[in-house]
Amino acid sequence: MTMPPPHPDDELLASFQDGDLAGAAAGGVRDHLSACQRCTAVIEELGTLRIALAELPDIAPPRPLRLIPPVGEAHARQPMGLVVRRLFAPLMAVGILLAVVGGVGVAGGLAVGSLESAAPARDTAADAFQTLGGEPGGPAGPTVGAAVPSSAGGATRESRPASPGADALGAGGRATGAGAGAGAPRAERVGAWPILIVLGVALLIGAAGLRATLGRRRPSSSRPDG
Amino acid sequence: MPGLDRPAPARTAPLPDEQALVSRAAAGDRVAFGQLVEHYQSACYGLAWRLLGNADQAADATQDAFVHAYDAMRGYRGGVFRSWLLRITANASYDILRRAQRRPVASLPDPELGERDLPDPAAPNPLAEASRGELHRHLDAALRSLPHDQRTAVVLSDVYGMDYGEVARITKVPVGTIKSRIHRGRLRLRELLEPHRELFGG
Repeated sequence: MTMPPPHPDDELLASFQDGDLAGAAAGGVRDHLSACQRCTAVIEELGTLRIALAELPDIAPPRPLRLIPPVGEAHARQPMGLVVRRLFAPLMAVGILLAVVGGVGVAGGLAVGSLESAAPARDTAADAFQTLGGEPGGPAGPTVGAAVPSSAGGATRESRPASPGADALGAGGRATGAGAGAGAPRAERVGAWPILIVLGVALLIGAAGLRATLGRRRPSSSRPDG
Repeated sequence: MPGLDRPAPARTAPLPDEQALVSRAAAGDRVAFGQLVEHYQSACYGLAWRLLGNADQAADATQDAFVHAYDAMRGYRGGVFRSWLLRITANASYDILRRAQRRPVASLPDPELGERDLPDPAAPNPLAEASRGELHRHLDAALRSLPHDQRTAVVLSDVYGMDYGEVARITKVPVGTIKSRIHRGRLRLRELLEPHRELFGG
């Protein structure tokens, strides 16, 4: 007794009907169709369906549509969309940069905090800061300047190669004028870095929001010619 | 149309002086643009309605498409004007669809509401025309019951004749995915229309 061959999957039949199969796959389906009424009917019905779909009529709008935009409206909308699109990438880049720099700063500050707790050496760190010309008790601003670019320099001047980062950042902590010691609060060591993070994140959110709001008003149909 | 045993599909044919109108519109002639858009508004609205399934959203999408077409008209680079306008309408509709899907509670097309939006092609017509109208109504109803992704792909490809690459660009998915959606959509339509097979005249 011979079993009838299994039907191909319907999606395979649809691909075949679409001319999307080639080679052995197409040959296999063709062989099957020659002996299977059921699958032949599927292929024929898919063909009939496509013809019927292609003949669906147009539909009149239920209300009158404004055919021509009022003078000024169409062109007034375009520049805004373009401005948003052009500004989006730079704003996002600056936001990410600020957030990352701020994050590195905070991480550095916290790491120094741990180092200092482990091996307190406050006086040399304070000297290092004064050598660099900072003003004790000044605002958080100098902290930023001292921590990043001159950390190595601070280390050299103080001849403490074991922990150059600790020197400079420790100096930054001292710059807040809080008498940064081994037990000083972490927030003082972190300095102004969180402000950069907040600014960066705010910029990211602002840019994304602007694009979402203004981009929505302009259909992304600026690809009429594909 | 003479020579056919069935009435011609009610698709908008090109205007006799279309090329001249397109040239004038591209040169900034608002009246010419208005004439073109008025002529094709049923084609555009039909596409938007079939993609969105909701009369208000479809009218909004068509209106958006006209505004954008007006903007883009100066850069018009030739080709079939109807196809160009339909692509813009498809993009505008798809934008509305994407926004509706991001806020499903607020504005996703309601199937029951949509049922009332169905056009009523039944008019005092000859019998063949009536059954043809019935076929179209069943086809549109079946299209509406497809999942959004399949419906969009089938409507753009099979109803409006866009090639798969074009559908992929509009929907921003790979061509292979589009093919699969179209194939599954057609198979599902075939199942849905099984009870009305006699309308296909096969």
